[in-house]
Amino acid sequence: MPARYDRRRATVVAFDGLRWESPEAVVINTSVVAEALLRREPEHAACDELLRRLAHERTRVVFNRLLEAELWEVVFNHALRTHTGQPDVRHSRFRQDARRAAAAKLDEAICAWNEMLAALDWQCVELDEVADAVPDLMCAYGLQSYDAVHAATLLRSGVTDMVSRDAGFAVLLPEDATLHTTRRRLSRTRARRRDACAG
Amino acid sequence: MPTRRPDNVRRGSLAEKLRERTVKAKVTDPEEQKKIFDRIGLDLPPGANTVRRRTRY
Repeated sequence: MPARYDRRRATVVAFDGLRWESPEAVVINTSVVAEALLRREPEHAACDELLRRLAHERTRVVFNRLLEAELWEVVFNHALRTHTGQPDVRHSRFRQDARRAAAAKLDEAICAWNEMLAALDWQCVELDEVADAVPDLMCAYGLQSYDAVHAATLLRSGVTDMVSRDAGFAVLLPEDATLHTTRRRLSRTRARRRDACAG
Repeated sequence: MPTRRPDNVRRGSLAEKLRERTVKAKVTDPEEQKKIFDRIGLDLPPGANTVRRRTRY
């Protein structure tokens, strides 16, 4: 226990830290699920271990349907890039050979995600259930619309724990959102929260 | 410690509706769960996890 309790620090924690405890329920966003599914990403091990723990400890995992669309976007675009060798996918997505290769990877991702869901206690919030809150969250916190969807999912579902690798959610109020990120991103996320609270 | 709001969900509210829709895990055996997580995963080259064109998490 630090000598002086700091709520802003206490509400940003590392899920790959030694003393991390799984909450009863979390809202999860795309950055963590994608990293868990993609074996060669730098934080794959931490995110994979997190989801194993959430499954094992029967934590309720809440996500917005948008997560799935974003996940398909990650996999599809990267498969396009891998197939064509071109970093920019704006043109390659109209090539049939590239789309065929990307479709195979996308099928693999959909199967993997469905298998993962079979092991989790999960709850999907539809986009239209939170869409009306998006403009308010954009105006109040400066969130991008996609991020505002995930933030609205947190606020509407009554959960106060969000698992994300995106430090941008640190702008949410500490009483509304305890953020769970990786150790690597802890300092940056705490700094964002400190700045947001100070502003 | 992670915080949690008090359990004060109103009957018929959106929150209650959402809670009812929780899907319980079909696979609850820890060994079977481990097998799932060991099996799934995509071998794309590093640098794949980019949702928005200019945003890398």
